[in-house]
Amino acid sequence: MLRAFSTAATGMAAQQTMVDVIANNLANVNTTGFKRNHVDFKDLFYTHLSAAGREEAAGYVAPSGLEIGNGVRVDSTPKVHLQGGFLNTGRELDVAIQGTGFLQVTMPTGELRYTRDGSLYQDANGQLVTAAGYPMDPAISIPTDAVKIDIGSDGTVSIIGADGTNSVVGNMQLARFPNPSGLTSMGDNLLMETEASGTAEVGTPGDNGYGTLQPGFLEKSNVQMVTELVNLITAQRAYEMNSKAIRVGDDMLRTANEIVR
Amino acid sequence: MPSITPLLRTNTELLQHELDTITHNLANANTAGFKSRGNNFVAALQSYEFDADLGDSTAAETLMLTQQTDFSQGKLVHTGRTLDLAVSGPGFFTIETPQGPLYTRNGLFHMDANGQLVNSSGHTVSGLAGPITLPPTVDLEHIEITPNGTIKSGPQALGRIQMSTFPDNENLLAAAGTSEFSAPAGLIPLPAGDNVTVHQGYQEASNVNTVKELVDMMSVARLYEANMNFIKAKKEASSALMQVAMS
Repeated sequence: MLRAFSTAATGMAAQQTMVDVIANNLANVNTTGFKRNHVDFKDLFYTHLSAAGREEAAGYVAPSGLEIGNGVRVDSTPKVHLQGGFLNTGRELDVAIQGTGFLQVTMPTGELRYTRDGSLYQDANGQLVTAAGYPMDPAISIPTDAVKIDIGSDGTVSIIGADGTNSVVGNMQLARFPNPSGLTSMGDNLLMETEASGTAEVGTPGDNGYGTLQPGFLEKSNVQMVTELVNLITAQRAYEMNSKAIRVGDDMLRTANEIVR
Repeated sequence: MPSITPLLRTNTELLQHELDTITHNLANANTAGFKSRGNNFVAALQSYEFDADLGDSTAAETLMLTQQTDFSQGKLVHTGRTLDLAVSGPGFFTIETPQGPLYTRNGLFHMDANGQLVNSSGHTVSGLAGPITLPPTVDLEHIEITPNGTIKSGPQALGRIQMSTFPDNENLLAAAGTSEFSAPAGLIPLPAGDNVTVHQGYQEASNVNTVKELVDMMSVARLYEANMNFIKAKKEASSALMQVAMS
């Protein structure tokens, strides 16, 4: 059978993946701290029918080879860790990270997860938790009699108590990775450390290489609607062209079949 | 009795190869840094058939499928990622693999867990002074890569990416898959000159010209049909001859 069929099929499958990724990006256009995924395609291996530079006749060297490619594959869908825009919420427990770094979240299993989503809450015991109820790491407890909470750009959490006194109750920290694209997305705005991302280095916000915290703001999704829609059109057209190649291949086989009737 | 010439069989086989190549190009219409494969068989076949019409039968012996990679510049598409690099001009990034160096125009790079600049398969990107390692304190968002490939964090230069060129010899490069090319033994790349520049935050789009591919695809389909019709006509002629002889 024609190789073109399977080649075009790889093209259609790859474009389909691209549409899937774009759809997920578009679905998360309003998700706090969301980082868009990028699709990277690579061509598949080649069938080398003859090599470039082979000697055709004494003294004559073929200027190019004959290689037939086998299509395309999706190589990776790395997250693009570009800064998203800021949304002013005015909520005292909302923080946006300006620059590099992730907030650390303790899961019920005790493992750490990482997030750019800084919409924090107090649970019934006054502990700072994410919207899903997972406590922050390092753990910070807000006394129940606090009348005002302040988060500084360096992560210092201070309160004004019922008696009007000012006190520091904890320090938020940020984690950074050698390769943030290597983090695994766990859903719920959470990312997990992997061998590819490298080990987290924890530091104070604002220190060398760490971003600062912006209280009263949330980081918006970094998905650009227009870019995604343009990519969507590109993917759709490429899909269509690949399906056309299958149809042409089919027509060719039909003409071949018509010889013997 | 007329026989179906081997040439027709070769034609149809080569046309199938041609369709395979076109399909491969179309499948890679969105692959960053992809270079389309040339399709000069249709043109060769058309001119051959023209020659054959004029009674030049020697062409049949020399007709073959030749192919070239089209290394022309693809469009640069803005992505904004600091480690997305596009090349303009006749240069390649050099990737170190266990099988030796490979050359690519796909500059979607990452830092690995050790802070080394790698491609998406985890292979090291060559620097002028060996692999490029970025210190852990460096802020990925604020890395600057200059047009000559120097990686800077603030005023401090951290290394320079090695760009390779193959002046006049690009067509000897063999496609190795994963958007990379390998050089045959003995072909040594030259360091790139000023005509090769690196653009940070961009990717080079595939240089497949989809309209041309679709038109070529139609030509292939029609030529294939024509060859098949010719075979059919020969078959009918020979069966007619048989009928006359047997009656």
